[in-house]
Amino acid sequence: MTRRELVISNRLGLHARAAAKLVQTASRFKSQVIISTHQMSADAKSILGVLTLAASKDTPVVLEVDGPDETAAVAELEALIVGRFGEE
Amino acid sequence: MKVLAGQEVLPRMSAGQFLDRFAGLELELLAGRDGLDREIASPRIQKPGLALAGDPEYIHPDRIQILGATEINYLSRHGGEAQRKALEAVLCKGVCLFLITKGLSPTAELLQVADATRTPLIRSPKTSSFVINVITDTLLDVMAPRITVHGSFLDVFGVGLLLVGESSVGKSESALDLVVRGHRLVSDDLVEIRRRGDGLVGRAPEMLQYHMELRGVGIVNINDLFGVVATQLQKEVDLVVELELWREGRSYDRLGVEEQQISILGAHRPYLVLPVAPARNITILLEVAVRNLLLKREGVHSARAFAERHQGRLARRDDEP
Repeated sequence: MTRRELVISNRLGLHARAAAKLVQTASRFKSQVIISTHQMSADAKSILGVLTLAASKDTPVVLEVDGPDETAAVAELEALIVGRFGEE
Repeated sequence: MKVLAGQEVLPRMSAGQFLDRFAGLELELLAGRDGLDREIASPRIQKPGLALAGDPEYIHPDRIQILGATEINYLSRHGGEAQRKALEAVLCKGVCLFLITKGLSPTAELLQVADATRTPLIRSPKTSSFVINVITDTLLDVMAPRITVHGSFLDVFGVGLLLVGESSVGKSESALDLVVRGHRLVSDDLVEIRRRGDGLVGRAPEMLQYHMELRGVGIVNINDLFGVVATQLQKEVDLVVELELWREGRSYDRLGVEEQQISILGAHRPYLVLPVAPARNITILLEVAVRNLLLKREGVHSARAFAERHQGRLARRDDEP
C-alpha cells in the first residue's frame, strides 16, 4: 500500500470537473484508491464519493493506493493534484 | 470475525458548539470564555455532588457537569477559602463545561475559579431534569460512534441490506435494479452508520442523499426519477452482502448451515459473500438472501432442516441389516 498526504491547491477546490478528472485517472488503474479528508474517506473511482468529500481549496487529503500498479497510480494522481488539475 | 472497513469517527463537541446547538435552553455564558474550545467527549452528564465537598476523584472531565439547586445551595452555604480549594481541585481537571440550571446564581468563588481555570460556566433558566433530558437525548445521537463505509444501502422487504465490495463490481447497478423492483434506496456509494446500543442506523451523507452514479449515464436523483416510495431517509442495518467477482479457486459457502457475521463498530450482523459472474442474476439472489434471512428470523432454517433430514436418512441406513 502506498500513501500520500497532499493538499488541494486549485482555487475552486475539488469541484465537479476536477473530481471527474481524478476519478477518470484513478479508474485507469487496477489498484484500489481511497481518498480521505479528516471527516470522510471515499473511493477515488467513484465520482459521487469524491464529490461528497466536498474538499475545498487548502483541504489536506490522503491518498491510499493498494494493488499491482499502485506506484504508477500514485504518481499520476499526485501529479494531477499538485498540478491543480491543469487549472490556473 | 470480519470487520467492516471504513473511516471511523468519534464525534466530539466543543463547549462553543454546545452553546449554539442547545440555544433552545436559553444558555448564557457567565465565565470561562477562554475555554470554549474544550471538548465534550461523552454524551452522559454528571452532577458533581460530593466532588464539591472535597472528593474530586470521580469527576469525569469529558462530561458536562450539571450544577443544580443542590450544588448551588451547598456552595452558597460553604463559602470562602474551603470552597475555593474544593472548586480548584475539581476545575483543575480540565472539566469541559459547567452548566447551572434553574437560573441560579453562582457564588463569587465559582465565577473566579471558572475564569482562572478557563472552564466555561454556562447557565440555563430551565430545570435540571429538563436540561438533562434534552442534552442526553441529543448528545446520544450526535456523539454516537460512526463509520463511513463504501457501499449501497437499501430497504429490501423491510430488511436493511448493505451491499459492499470493490469498486465497479456492480453495487450501484444492483441497487438500481432493486429500486426498479420496488425496493427503497437509502444511500449509494457512501453510507454513514451510527451505533446506538446494539442498533446500527445507516443513512446517506447529507450531500449525497438519494443520488446515484451510473456509468455512462451520470449522476441521477432516485427520488426525482422514481418518487418518494423509492427512497428512505434511514434504516437499521440487518444484513451485509459482499459482492465479489467470481474467483477461480476460491470456495464459496455451498451449504449455508454455518452463518458468518461481520462486525460494524463492534456490533455484529449476518454477512454473506456473493460471487458475481455472467448469468448470475444478482438482484434475484439478493432478494432471496433477504427472504431467507426473514425466514430464519421466523425460526425456519432451510439449510439446517435439509442437513438434519439428510443426517436422519443416513442414520436409518445404518440401522438396516
